[in-house]
Amino acid sequence: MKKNIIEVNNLYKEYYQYKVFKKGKLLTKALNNISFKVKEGDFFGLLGQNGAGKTTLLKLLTTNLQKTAGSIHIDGINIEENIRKVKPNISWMFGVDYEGYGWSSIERNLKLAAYYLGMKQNQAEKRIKELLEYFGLYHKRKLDVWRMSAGMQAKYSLAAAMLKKPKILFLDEPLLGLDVPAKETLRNFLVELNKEGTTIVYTDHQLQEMEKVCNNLIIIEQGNKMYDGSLDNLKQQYRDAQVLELTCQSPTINKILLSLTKKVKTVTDYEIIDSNEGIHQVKVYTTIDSKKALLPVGNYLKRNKVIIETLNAGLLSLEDVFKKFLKKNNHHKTKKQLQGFHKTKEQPLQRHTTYLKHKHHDVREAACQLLHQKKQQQVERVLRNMSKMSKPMQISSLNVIGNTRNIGLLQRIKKHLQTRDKDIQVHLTIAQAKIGDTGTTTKLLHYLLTEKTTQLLLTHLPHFHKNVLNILSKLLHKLNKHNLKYLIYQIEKNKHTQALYNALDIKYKEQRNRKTHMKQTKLIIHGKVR
Amino acid sequence: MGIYLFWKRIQASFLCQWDEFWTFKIDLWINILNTILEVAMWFFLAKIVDPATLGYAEVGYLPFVLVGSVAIFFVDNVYSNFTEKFSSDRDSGIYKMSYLSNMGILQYFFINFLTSIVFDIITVFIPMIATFSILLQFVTENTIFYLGMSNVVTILVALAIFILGNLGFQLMTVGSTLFLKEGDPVGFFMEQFNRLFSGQLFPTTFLPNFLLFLPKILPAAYIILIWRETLFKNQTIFDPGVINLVIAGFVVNIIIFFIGMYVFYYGINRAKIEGRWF
Repeated sequence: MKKNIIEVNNLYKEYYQYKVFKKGKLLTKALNNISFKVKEGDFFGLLGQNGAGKTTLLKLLTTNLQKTAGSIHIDGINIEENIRKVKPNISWMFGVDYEGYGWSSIERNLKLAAYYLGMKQNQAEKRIKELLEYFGLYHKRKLDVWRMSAGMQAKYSLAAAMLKKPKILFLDEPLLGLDVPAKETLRNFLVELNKEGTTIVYTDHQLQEMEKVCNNLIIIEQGNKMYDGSLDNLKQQYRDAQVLELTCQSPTINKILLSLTKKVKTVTDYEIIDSNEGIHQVKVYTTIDSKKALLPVGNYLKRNKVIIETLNAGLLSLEDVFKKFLKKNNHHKTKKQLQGFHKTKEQPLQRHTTYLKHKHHDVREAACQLLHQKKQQQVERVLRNMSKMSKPMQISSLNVIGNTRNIGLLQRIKKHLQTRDKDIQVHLTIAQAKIGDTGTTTKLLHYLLTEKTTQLLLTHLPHFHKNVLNILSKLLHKLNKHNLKYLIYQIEKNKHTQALYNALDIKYKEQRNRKTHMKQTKLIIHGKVR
Repeated sequence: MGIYLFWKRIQASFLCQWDEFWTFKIDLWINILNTILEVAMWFFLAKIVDPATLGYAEVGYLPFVLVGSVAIFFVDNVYSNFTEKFSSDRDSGIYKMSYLSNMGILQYFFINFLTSIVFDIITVFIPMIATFSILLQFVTENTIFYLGMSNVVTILVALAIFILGNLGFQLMTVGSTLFLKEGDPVGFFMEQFNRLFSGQLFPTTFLPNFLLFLPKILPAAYIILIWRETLFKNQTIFDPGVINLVIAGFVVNIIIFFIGMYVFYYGINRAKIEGRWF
C-alpha cells in the first residue's frame, strides 16, 4: 500500500484587498474547504476551468502562497511548520518559468540552476547531460536560451525543474501554447518520469489532456471540489456523452430538439447556449461518436425545416461535464429546458404550465419567466403565492417581477415579504432597480461595495432601468480609489465584464508599471480619468 | 562544501553574465565612456572650486569628489545587485532556484555583488583610474593619498560596514515594493538623500543644523567620511576620531540591516498572502 505523499485537509484561501497595512474587503474565496490525498508515485490531476482555483491550490502546495485555513502535509511534513524541510523535496514549473540568462547557453544556464539548487559539480554535470539527452537538447546545448523555440523552452524549463530529482513535481498547464508534436513529446517525458517514481501533480483546463496522463484527479469549480477520485470512475460517468455543436434557424427549435431526443435514440439531451435574432447556438449530446451522429441528427433537423448554418462534431468540454454530470439533477434539466424556450422566444408547450406549480423555486421562476406574457394573470397569481412562501420562493418571485418590470404586482406583494431578512431586502432593491425606482441607488451602491452582495448585484446590473444606471454611474464618480479598485476587480471577475462597463458607462484601461511590474488602472467615467 | 558551493555559484553566475556582457559590446563601450566622461567632468569642476573651502586644505576638488564617487559607486552597485537583480531573477526563474534550495539572502546578494565587481573592474575601475591618472598630469597642485596598510584596513572596514547598511536599505526597498505594490519610497530616499546629504559633493558640515541628523542615518556618509579622513589626513582605525566613526557607523548600519531584513521578510510574507510571490 503506497503512502500518502500529499495530504490536504479543509483548505481555504481567501484573497483580500489591502490598504498598505490594513486588510480591506474580501475579493474572492479562491478555495473552499478542499481536502484530498495524493499517493506516492501517482500522476495526479487538478482540473478546472480558468479561474477555478487550480493555480491557487498549486501555489499553496509549493509554499508560494499562504493559506487562510486548513492544513497541507507534504511527505508527512506540515508545510507551515517546516517550510525549509519541504522545499528540497519538491519542484515546480508554472508555465515556462526558468529562463536564466537569455544570451547565455542552455548548458551554462542549467549549470547555474544546478549550483543554485545546491548540487555538487560531478552530480550537476552528470544530471545536466542526462536531462539534455533525455529531452533531445544535448546537441543544442551551446545554443543561447533566447534562440529556442516554444517547445524547446518548455523542455528546457522542465529540465531545470527536474534537475534535483524532486520527489514531487508540480506542473501548471505545462502544455499550454505548444503545438501537437511538442505536446506529445513533453507528455511522454512526463509519463516516463512518473514511471521512474516521481509523483506528478498536474493542472489543466482540458479534460482530454488529463485523460492522456492522469490516474487520479480532483475537479475544482469556483474554489469548490466537484470530484475527487480516479479518472476511470469519472470516465464511467461521461463515456456515453459526445457533443454536436449546431448553429441554426427555426421558430420552433426547442420543440424539434425535444422530439429529436425522443425519436433519435442516440441523442440524450440538448441545450440552447445562445439565441439572437432567430439564430440559435445549440449543443446536442449523443451517446455515440459525435461524428457518426452528424448524419442522423442533420437529416432529422432538415426534415423538420430547421435551417442549419453549421453542424460540427465537438469535444466534451469540462463545462459540459459539469453541466451534464457533476451538477446533474432533474430541476436543473427542467430549468434549462424552460430557459431554452425563453431564450429563443418560442411558444411554450402546454405542459410547461404545470411547472408553475413545481416544488422547486428555480423551475417555478423559469416557468413564470417563460409564461408571463402568454398567461399573465395565472403567472401573477403564482407569483403572489410564491411571495407568501419560503425565502427562496420569495426571492424567485422578486426576480421574475423585476425582470418583467411589473410595478403594480411588486407593490401588492411587498407586504407579504420577509423584509427584515437581508437577502430579501437585496432582491427587493434589485427588483425595484429593474423597474426604475431611482430612490434605490444609494442602497444599490452600498450593496455593490459589500463583499457578500457585490457579485449578485453585478449579475443583475445590466438589466437595471436606464435612469437607475445613470444615477449609479454618477455615484461611482465620487467613490474613493480603494472602493473603485475593488469594484473594477469584481467587474473583471464577472462573466459579463463588457456589458457591465457599458451599462455603467465606464471605460477602463490597465497598464503595467515598467519598473515595479505592478498594474496601474485608469478609469474613465463620463470622459474623466480617475 | 559551503565555500566550494559558494565559489561554484559565483563561477556559474559569472560565466552566464559574461556571455551577455560580451554580446553587448556597444553597451560595454558606452559604460566605459560614461566613466571617462564623469571623471573628466570632475576635472573641470575642480578648476572652479577652491579646495580650502571644502574643509580639506591641500586636497584638490578632483580627488575629493573621486572618493565620494567611488563610495556612491558602491551604493549603486549594491542597488543593482539586490533590488534590480532580485526583480529580474524572479522573472527569469533564477531566484526560484535559490528559494528552492533555501539559499540565504546574504549569500544570494554576495554572489551577485562579487560577480558584478569583476565586470566593474573593466567598465568602471580601470577607465576611472586611467582617466584620473591622465588628467592629473594637467593639475598643478599635488594631493597626497595615504595608502599604508592601516589605511587600507580602514578603507575595507568602512566598506564592509557600508555594504551591510546599504544592503539593509536594499532589503527595505524590495520588501516595501512587495507590500506597497506601487512606488518605491525607499529607493527614492536612497538615491536622492545619498547624493545630497552623504557628503559626496560637499562636506556634511556645510549642511544647516536642522539637517545634520541626516548623514548619521545614511550608510554612505560614514564610508565617505572615513575614507576621506584616512586617505587625505592619514587618520586610521587606530585613531580615536576614526574608531568612533567606525563604531557609530557599525551601530547605525547594523540597525538599518536588521530593519531591512524585517521589512524584506514581511514583504515576502505579504506577497505570499496576497498571491504575488512566484
